[in-house]
Amino acid sequence: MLEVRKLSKFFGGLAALGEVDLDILDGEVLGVIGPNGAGKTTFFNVVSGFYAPNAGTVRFNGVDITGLKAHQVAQVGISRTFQAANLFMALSVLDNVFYSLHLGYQTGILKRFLHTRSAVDESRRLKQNAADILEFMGLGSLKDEPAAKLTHGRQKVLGICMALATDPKLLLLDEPFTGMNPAEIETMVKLVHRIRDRGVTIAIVEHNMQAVADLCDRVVVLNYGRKIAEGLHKQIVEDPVVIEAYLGKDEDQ
Amino acid sequence: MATQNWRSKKGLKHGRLSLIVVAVLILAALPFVIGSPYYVHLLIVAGMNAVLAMTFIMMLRTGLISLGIAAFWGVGAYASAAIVLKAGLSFWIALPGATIITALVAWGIGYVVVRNTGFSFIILTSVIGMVAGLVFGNITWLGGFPGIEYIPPPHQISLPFLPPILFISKIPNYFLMLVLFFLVVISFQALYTSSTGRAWMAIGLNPHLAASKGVNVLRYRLAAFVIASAAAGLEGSFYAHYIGSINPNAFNIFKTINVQIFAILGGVGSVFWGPVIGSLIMTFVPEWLRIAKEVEPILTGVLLILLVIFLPGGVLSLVNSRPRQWKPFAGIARIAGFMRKSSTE
Repeated sequence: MLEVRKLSKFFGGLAALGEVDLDILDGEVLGVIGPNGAGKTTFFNVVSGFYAPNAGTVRFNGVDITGLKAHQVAQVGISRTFQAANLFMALSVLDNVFYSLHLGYQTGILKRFLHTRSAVDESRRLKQNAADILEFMGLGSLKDEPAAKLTHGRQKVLGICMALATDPKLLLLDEPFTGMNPAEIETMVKLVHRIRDRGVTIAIVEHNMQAVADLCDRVVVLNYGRKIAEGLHKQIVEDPVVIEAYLGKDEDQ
Repeated sequence: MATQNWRSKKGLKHGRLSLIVVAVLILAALPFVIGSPYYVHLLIVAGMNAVLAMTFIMMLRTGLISLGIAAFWGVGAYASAAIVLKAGLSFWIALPGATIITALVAWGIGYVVVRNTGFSFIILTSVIGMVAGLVFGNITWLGGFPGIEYIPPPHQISLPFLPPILFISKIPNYFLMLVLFFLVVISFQALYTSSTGRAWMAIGLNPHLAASKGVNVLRYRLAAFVIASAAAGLEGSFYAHYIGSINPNAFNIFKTINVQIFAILGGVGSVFWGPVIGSLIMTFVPEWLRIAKEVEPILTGVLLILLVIFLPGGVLSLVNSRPRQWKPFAGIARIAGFMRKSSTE
């Protein structure tokens, strides 16, 4: 589904990504792990169009999407979440998703400006879509709450609801489990499974190894911007190169 | 807006409709009740200023603070005067013509400036605001620094069932101002309540998040810039023909700063009422206090400082929040704390 070839991104002289080759297969849940500063989030930022790569190509379902802008990447069907709970804090939970359905409008812009019947019906339908997404992700009862008042765990779930609003084929989750308690992690694992069962391919950047083990079909390990290992979770945790990357270089883990 | 959730939707719609009808009736009767042409003139000026403040808020919604509003107001005024005086066409052609010309100029300038955000955008638009007067003044064809005089008032029109309307006295001009005012309010409201308004809001709240949802941030910011400038140009056209003369100084950056004060005084959280209340207060209060023109900048400066400290939400925040939340002494305590902190540094 996603083919990344020799992708490089430099910040000054530092290679945040150095010639990374990576494939995301149709229907899988891929884990991207690595010590802090390994380039995982940079990888997401380049794929989702927030940074332009210095070299390499990204192909999505055979189409070259290298260097597209963030809104264009969203249009081709790749959606992402952000590490920090990144929401429209001033809006209600429902409006957060409703405002994220920007790509759902089909009527002409003039019709929307004139509030013709078809345009009004469409807005109503999209608002219902937003409510459906919240229901699907278990936030249906909280739709009128202000987003800022949700617990951290629920804000993370809302972030995923908003990412689903662009109707993605590939969903990039950036550290969805950070700062969650065990009960919230359990819920989130179930939700990610539920999204996968809908036919959405998922890539996860995550530090929580238990969650990665529970969720991911395959794991890719990055260190210093390079891919150092790839395979099943079982194989990865026994790989001496991976163990060295974690224990030899970074004691924070 | 959100505070009216307790009302049923249908009730809200009826309530709002009757409110609009009453408001329009009051506004239509106002000049006849007031009688004094001078006060009608102030109302016309306040109405124009309110629209300019609305354009400031439109750009603010997308996270852009523009200091170039008066420049585009000036483009509209000069374009309109040129169309009538140089091309010999009617005001009724010049009004839409000047609006389109302003929109085109704003599109050209906006194409470059909306790529910048935050301070760079403020600096760039303030440069536009500062240069605009010089540019107008250096075009001798447009009257140079002395400006253009004897711009005719809007040409007379005939409406069915009415005698021909001449725009010589204040009252017809007042109604023309009202029509333009509502034209802007209705189109802005249509934009705010459509997908465009939601995209603007999303960009203003979090541009990166908006982009990740497929919103083309640059294009929507450019749209806000062009639409806001076009509305300013429309008012500029009316201004030129209503006042009858224009000069480059009227369109300098201080006009824009005044416009911002109207918006901030009323409350930037509201797209229409804030600008209306702000510009009414700022137009009438100095008149009632009989303050000389020279003192006005000092008044507005002091007012702006007081506003930011005591009433960051504007006058409207007094109405929307419960009274107990308004604690003027908290503001004084904050100033005292601020002064203490800066004196110890």
